[in-house]
Order: sequence, then structure tokens, then C-alpha cells
Amino acid sequence: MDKNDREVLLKVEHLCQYFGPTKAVDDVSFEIHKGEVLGLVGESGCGKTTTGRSIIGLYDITSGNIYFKGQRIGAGTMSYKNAIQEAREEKKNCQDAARIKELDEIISRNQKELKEAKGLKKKVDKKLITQIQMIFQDPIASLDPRMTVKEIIAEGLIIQGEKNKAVIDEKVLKMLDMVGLVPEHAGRYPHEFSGGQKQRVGVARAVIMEPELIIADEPVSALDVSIQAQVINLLNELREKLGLTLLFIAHDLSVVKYFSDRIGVMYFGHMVELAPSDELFLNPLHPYTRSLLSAIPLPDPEYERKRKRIVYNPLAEHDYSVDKPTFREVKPGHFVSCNQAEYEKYMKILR
Amino acid sequence: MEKKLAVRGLTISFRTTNGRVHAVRNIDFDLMKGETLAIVGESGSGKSVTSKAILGILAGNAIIEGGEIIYDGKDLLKISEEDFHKIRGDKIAMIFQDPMSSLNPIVRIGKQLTEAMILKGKARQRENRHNFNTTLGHLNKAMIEAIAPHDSAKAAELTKMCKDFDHFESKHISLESAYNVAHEAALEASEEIEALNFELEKKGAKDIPYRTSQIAAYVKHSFHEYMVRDRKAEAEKLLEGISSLTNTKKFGDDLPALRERLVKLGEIENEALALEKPDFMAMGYCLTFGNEALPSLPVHDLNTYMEEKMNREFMDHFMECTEKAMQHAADVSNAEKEKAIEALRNGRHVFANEKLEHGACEAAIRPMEEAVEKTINKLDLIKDSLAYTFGPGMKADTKKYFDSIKKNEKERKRYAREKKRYDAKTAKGKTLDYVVVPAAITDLDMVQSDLVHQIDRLEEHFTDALAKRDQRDFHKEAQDMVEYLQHSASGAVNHVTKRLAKSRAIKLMSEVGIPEPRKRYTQYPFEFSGGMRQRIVIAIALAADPDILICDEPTTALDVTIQSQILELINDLKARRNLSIIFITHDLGVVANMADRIAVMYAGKIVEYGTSEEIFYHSAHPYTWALLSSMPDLDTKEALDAIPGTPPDMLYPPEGDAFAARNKYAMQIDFEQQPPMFKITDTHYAATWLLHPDAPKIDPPKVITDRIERMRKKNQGGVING
Repeated sequence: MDKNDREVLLKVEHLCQYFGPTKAVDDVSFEIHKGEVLGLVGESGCGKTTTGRSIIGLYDITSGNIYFKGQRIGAGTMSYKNAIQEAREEKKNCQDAARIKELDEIISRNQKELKEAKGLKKKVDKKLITQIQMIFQDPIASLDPRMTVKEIIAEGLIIQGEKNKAVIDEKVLKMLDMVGLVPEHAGRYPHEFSGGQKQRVGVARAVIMEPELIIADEPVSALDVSIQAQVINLLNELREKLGLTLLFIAHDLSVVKYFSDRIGVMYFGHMVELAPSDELFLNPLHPYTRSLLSAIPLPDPEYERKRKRIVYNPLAEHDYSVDKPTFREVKPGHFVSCNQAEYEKYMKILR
Repeated sequence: MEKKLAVRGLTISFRTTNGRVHAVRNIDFDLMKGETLAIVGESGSGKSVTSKAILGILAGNAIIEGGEIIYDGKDLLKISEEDFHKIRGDKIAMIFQDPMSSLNPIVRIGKQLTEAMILKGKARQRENRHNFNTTLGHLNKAMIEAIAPHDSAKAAELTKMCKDFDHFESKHISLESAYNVAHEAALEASEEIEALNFELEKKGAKDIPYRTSQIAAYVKHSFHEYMVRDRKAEAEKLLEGISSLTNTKKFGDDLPALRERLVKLGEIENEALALEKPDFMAMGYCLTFGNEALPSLPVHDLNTYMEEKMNREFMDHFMECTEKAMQHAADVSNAEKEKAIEALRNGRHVFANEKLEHGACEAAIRPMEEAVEKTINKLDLIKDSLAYTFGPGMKADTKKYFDSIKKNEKERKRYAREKKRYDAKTAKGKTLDYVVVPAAITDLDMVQSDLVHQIDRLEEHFTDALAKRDQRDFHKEAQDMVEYLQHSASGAVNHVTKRLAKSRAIKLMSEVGIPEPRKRYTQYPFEFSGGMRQRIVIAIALAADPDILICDEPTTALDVTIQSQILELINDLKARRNLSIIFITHDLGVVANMADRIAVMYAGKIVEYGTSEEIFYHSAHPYTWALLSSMPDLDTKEALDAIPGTPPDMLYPPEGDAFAARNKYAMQIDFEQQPPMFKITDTHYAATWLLHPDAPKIDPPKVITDRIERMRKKNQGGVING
């Protein structure tokens, strides 16, 4: 598919999310086109969940911009603050009048941006934000045990100001039907359901807001194998029926490969490779991606005995002491984080 | 292969307010030494309950309705809690599913790791000493009986020989453990130096002063007569140079100088590691009994000299005597077995009667038990578990039989009473929110047939053993015996100090993939991420060096790379320590590489079991097919074959095949009658009516056959991961 014919639904630019000294997400950029599924993979603690939560606004982002349907819905302040500080430092020791003028301009521009970013939270269209919904990993912890299924599913609608009981009821029942539950389930409490059914409730809660983008944070990793397949099939059906766009976060690469159009690989807060899924599995370039792919277990004893896991050691693989890596496109749609020397090497491999 | 664990007819249910939940229903399996048995099934299939029963940690409301779990000649379902303390954690360890709840939140990681090592170290030392002494005692006694039954002078000579063995063996162990400490230190020094050098080269080294001081400590511990001796002075000088470099305040410019010294130091350690290891057993003998000092020869020649001397003066004779003693003990045991068979035959009719009598049963058990006890050969290294469990098993089952007569009566009355009350209320038109708990009636016929079966089985076992009596190789067994004695002796002498425990713990931590283990050693569990916590849990389970490791979904909470690492680690440990592993998971993909054999469980029953290849390539049960086809692999494009519905409610287990309701290949008989285990090959069994000769022939789903075909091509092409 050609990415140019498609509307960009979500755009993440230089997203940084720091918690104190911990850089959970550091300079991550990507786009999600309408109707596609972008998979995010990486080991635990690599920042994939944090990325999802930052997009939906559960955290105030440190730096970077997030655009949804062309409108800015999240902005960080750190990059502006840093720019102002740098300019001020330079101004102190600067004698050149032209340069001082330039610096003043930089400061005032950044101050304006900073003010805008700070005020963004109040200005963002609340209705727009509800078009992004999230499905959480743990179906047990993410449902309030004291609410009935109907209350859980309808909560978002009520918060958005829907007062008509008949409309709410109708919508809830429609949702229950859509996710494969029956109307009798509406009055029950979460503990009366099995794991797969709970996750269906979680899906219904997200889908009732008629979202355009769903962030699914490990929606099947807590489920049994047979139930996993049910939920994956459900998400696939909904995707076709409603034309949903998904950011699919998971660590099970077989599931991600099956479900996603494009896959982004994250490592320690950085996006190291982003490519269409077939391309990624055919031509993995970044050493971390190779190591990740070599770790996938497959249900075949003979293959498993032959499989050798590739170990990734960033210190041994890269020499970034002089030339820092950037995110470059090595092939249309295939991005890798690399420096110039590595870029040339990758191009040679691709040829 | 040696059988490590045998589970027979295990049936467990849970008492709940709604009634009895039948969690495990009559399952059988064996675990061999050094193999991995995977138990695969969904949550609620009873796989975790089985593993908890093996470890004796079932919840209080669990009822063990029947069966046995035999380990090391004991039935784990019948031994006391006191005896279980010696097995749990030490011999059978467990890695739990949830790393959050299996660590103590207020104790440092280091303490939690070393706690078991230090405690078990002391207990194990005692146990090993006990084993060594009793086995040597039995051996001595057997020697006297075999060689000099009536010659007291010769007997005294033999006793002296055993004492001599004891004497020089302890010398051997103390020499060897000193060498091992030095060897280990040299190994660690060499590894650390290499790691630091590498990082210095890449300009990414941290904590240089601390790490060099650690290296210095290791190097100092590696000074030993047979490790670093000739270049000791040189190494000391290098260490001084390094410490003077790192102690200066403005450190950072002299990295090349530091590296140069480290490289040299690494050379010294590597050279020491390449040296040949002296034969400490022979050395122990020569130092204890050789009247002259050791000749100064190169290690290789010294070994030959010492070995010759030891064999000439002592070992050959000792081995000969041991062989004779073991032969004698086996002969005695065989003679007793013949008598025991007679006794079993005599006693059997009492239990085969229509109705059992309490007094007669007890009277019949006594002579049988005595006869069987006499057949136990104390010098057998592989214990005869059937003979050991016979007496207690018979007594327990007899007690169960006679207790149940009264209990059944009571239960029936209670049920009738409650049912009457319930029916009266419902007749009035009330809808009640409770159900009557069905009567828990023990099947007396089953208990009785169990009793008879125990007798028959033992008789068969004895007849078997007698038939094979001429095939035993006593020369080999004598060697095994000496090896066993040496092993116990080393266990008794080597004790675990805090320092040793710490260094072992840190090694374990880096083995399970925890970065900066020295820093992590003093942290609390809340400072670790989920994956890291699971690694700690695995490290703790391994700390006590167990025989059998039960892994209950150990990688479910981990991501792919870590999962792969942990699986590799478990495989590696299995090979190195000859561990037997029970691996419980719901993910068939994970076990393809791990398992030697796989048992698929559904609704408390094993529905199929076989070797890994048989399950993946020739599976026969529809549930196994469903499991295999419901997960996507890297080439899946079409919609997944999800299993419809949910597992059955185990309060009321279905009449026929439990999977019938979700099975698209189900036949009428599946809903009516439970299928037996059909044999496919010697190792492959499946419980499905599809294997009945009258059943229609159904091929496995296309998804599976396609995948097998595709993978076969891939394997032949040798292309892995593009």
C-alpha cells in the first residue's frame, strides 16, 4: 500500500517522556495512517506502554508534539525551555549586536511556543480526544469491581453528557452484541465473567465512544491461548466493520505480525526500526530487531532445536562515540536508527 | 533411564460452598531423570493443582481422593509435614507464576537469595555426613558378611580398610575444596578483567575503582599452590600498580596504562586456568598414608605416580571387596524376594474376599510387610520405591476402607436429610439460592481393588527383578558406589559460608540475566521490574540446587527476548545439573524446544501425551489440534481457528469427553461415555473416541498440516529468520 494516499490520523513528533532521571521515551517519532494497525514491540520497560499512555494524555509529555487529525493534542515544554536557556547563556557572553538580536528573536519565539504548549491542555477539543480510546492489558484490574457491566460500558457516554437513558441502553446492548456477549450480561459484575469475557467488556467500553483510534495495550497477553484467538478475531472483525485504526502494543511477535500492517521496534526508549510487517520480518536491519526476531518460539520441535538466539549488546554493536545515530529511511517506508557508517552498511545489505 | 517421580491415579477435588470442584481426575505420568515433561492446558485444567500436590502445598480445602506420588521411595501424599520439609525446596523446587507475590517485599534480594543456601547448606552437610557414614557402615557390614563371616581378624582388617577410606577421603575433599576456591576466584578474575577491558576499549566503563578492587580481591584468592604460584610476585606488583592508579584523585587520563596492566593480569590468570588439575584423591591418599614426601614432578607425571601408588596399595583391593559385598547384598535380597513373593501370595486372598474383615486384614498385612522390608537392599543406590511404600500404603488404604464405611453412612443420611428439606421448600414454590452439597461417598470397591492391585504389582515387580538378577554388572555398581561415597563426602566437608553464598548468589543473578548484580544484591523487590523479579525467583529456586524443578508458567509474564533467555537458561541448567523438570504452560509454542515429552491436560484429565515430535507432528486429540491451530505463527494470514466457548464447570464435570461441547469433531458417544486412553505408539497415547476402530477417519485441521509442511521446507532449506 502506498502511504501517500492515506490520511495521517496520528502523528507523533520527537516525543520524550522523562520520569525524573529516567528517560522512558526518548525522541520517538511515527505516523499512523487511517485504517491501519501499527504494532509496537520491545521488551518490558522499553517504553512502549508509556508511548501509548502519553498519546492518550495519561501523562503530561516532557517534550515533543502529538497531532491527531491535524490538530495538536499534546505538547511538551522541555525543548522550548532548553532553547531559551541556551540562548540566554549565549547572550551573556556575546558582543556581536546582530547575533544578540537573533538570540532575542529565538527567545521570544520559544517563549510564545512555550506559552502555547502550556495552555494547550485547556484549549484541546474534548470531543476530539474521546475519539482515541484505550484497551488495557489486565482485564481484571481495569474494570471497577463495584460497577455492573452496563455501568462500566456506559460510563464514558455519561461523562460526555449523554442523558437519555433509552439511548444509553440501546447503545450498550448494541455493543454487547458486537463483542459477542448477550444482553443478560449487562446487569452482572466483572467477577462473574471469565478472563476472555472481561476483555470483551474492555473492548466494548472502548468501542462505544465510536473512536477512530484505539490504543490496545497488550490486550491478549493475560489470556489463555484459546481465548486469545477469540479476542484477536473479535478485534479483527471490529476493525473491518468499523474501519478502526489501531496502535497495537504487545510483546508477542507472532500476534503482532499477524495483526499489524506496520511494526515499530522500541529499545530503551528509542524507536530503532519501523517498517511494514512483512518487510521487517524479511529484512530486519537493526541488530536489536534481529535479536528480537531470533527469539520467537515456534510450535515446531525441529526448528526450535536449530534456532539460535542472537544476543544484542549495544556497546559491541554500535560505535556512536563520534557520529550519533538518527532515524533514517533506508527503503520506502522502512526506517532504521543508524549513523552514516551503519546507513551505508544497511544499504549494501538491502541491495 | 531412572524414574524420578511417578504419579498414579491422582485425583484431587476442592470443597467449596457450592459443592465439590473436581480439579484433577485420575491422572498418571512418570518423570525420568534429566528430562523435561511439559504439562500444557488452559487455566482451570488442573495443571497447577497437580504441581502443587507434588510439592505438598495444596490449599486447605483440597481433598486428595486417591492416587500416589512416588519420589525417592516415598509416597509424597502420605508422608508427614516434617518429612516434607526435607524435600520441599531442597529436592523439589518450584518457580511460581506470579513474581509479584513470591518475593518478600521487606527483605533485601541478597538476603532472600542466600537465606536458603546458608540454611540448606548446614542441613545438607549434616545429611551428607549421615549418608556417608550409614552407607559406609552398610558396606562394611556387607563386606564382612561376604568375605569373612566367621573370621574376626579378617573382619577387623576390613573395618580398618573402610576407616582408612573415610580418613583419606576427608583429606582429599579439603585439598580439593581449597583448590576449587582458588580456581573459582581465578575464573571470576579472568571474566571480570575481560569485561572491564572490553568496556574500557569502548570507553563505556563505570565504577572503575570499585571494580578494580573487586578484581584485586579475586586475584588474591586465586593464589594457590596449583593455581597462581610462579607468577604470584608479578601479579602482586601489577595489582599494586593498578590500585595506585585508581586511587589518585584525578583519575581518568591513565586509561591506557590501566588497560595494559589489566591485560597482563588477565594473561596470568588465564595461564593459571589452563594448568592441569592434580588428582586430589590420589594426593589425599599419598599425603595420609604415604610415608615419604611427594616427589617434585610436573603435575601430569605426579598424577600418574600417585594414582599408581594408591591403586597398588589400596584402591584395587577396596574395589574388589566392595564388588563382593554388593554381590552378596544383592544375593541376600534376592533370596528374601523369593520368600516375600510367597508371603504376598499367602496374604492376597484376604483382600480378594467379597467383604473385608478388619482384624484379618491387619493380621495379613503384618507378615507381608515384614517379608517385604527384608528384601530392601541398603546398598542399592536406586531405591526400590515399590518395596518401600508397600507397608505404609497398605495400612493407609486399609484404614481408609474401614473409616469410609462409617463415613459413607453418615454422608448418606446427611444428604437425604438436606435433600428432603430442600425438596419440601421448593415444593412450596420458593426458589432457593443454595444447592444441596452431594454426598461425598468413597467407592469401597475401588479402595479394595487398589489394595489387591498393590499386592499384585509388587509381586510382579519382584518376579521381574529375580528374572533379571544375572544381568547386573557389579563392577559398574561398585564404581558408582565409590562415586556416591565421594559425592557425599564432598557435601559433608564443603560448607557454605556467607562470603561463598554471596559470590554464588551474584553469579546466579548474572546467570539469570540481571545487569549489575553487585548493585542489585542490596536492593528491595519493589526496585525491580516484573521481568527482573521473575529472574530473582528463578535464581532463588536454583539456589538450593534441586533435583526436580517445577516451573509453573515461568515465562508468561516475560517478553520474547527474556522468555527465550530464561528458556535457554532452564535448558542449560537441565543439561548441566541433570535436572528433571516439570514445565507447566498454556503456550505450546514455548515447549517445542523445552520438552522431551508433553502431556496435554483438559478439565482435570490428561487427554494426550507423547514425545515432543509426536504431539507437534502427529497429534491425535481434537483439543491438541485446537490448541495448535488457535495461535498465529509468523506466516498466518487467515482468520484464527478460535476454540468456541469456555472450559466446563468442574463442579459438574461432563459425563463423556469433557471437550465434546467445544469440539467440532464430536460424535454422539463423546457426550455419553468417557473415552479410554488409546495407544498410538509405545510413547504416544490419546483419549479420544476418534481413535476407536469404528470411528470415522478424520485428518488433523489443514492449518496444522500446512504449517508442518511449511516448517519442514524451512528446516531443510536451513533458512532461519530470513
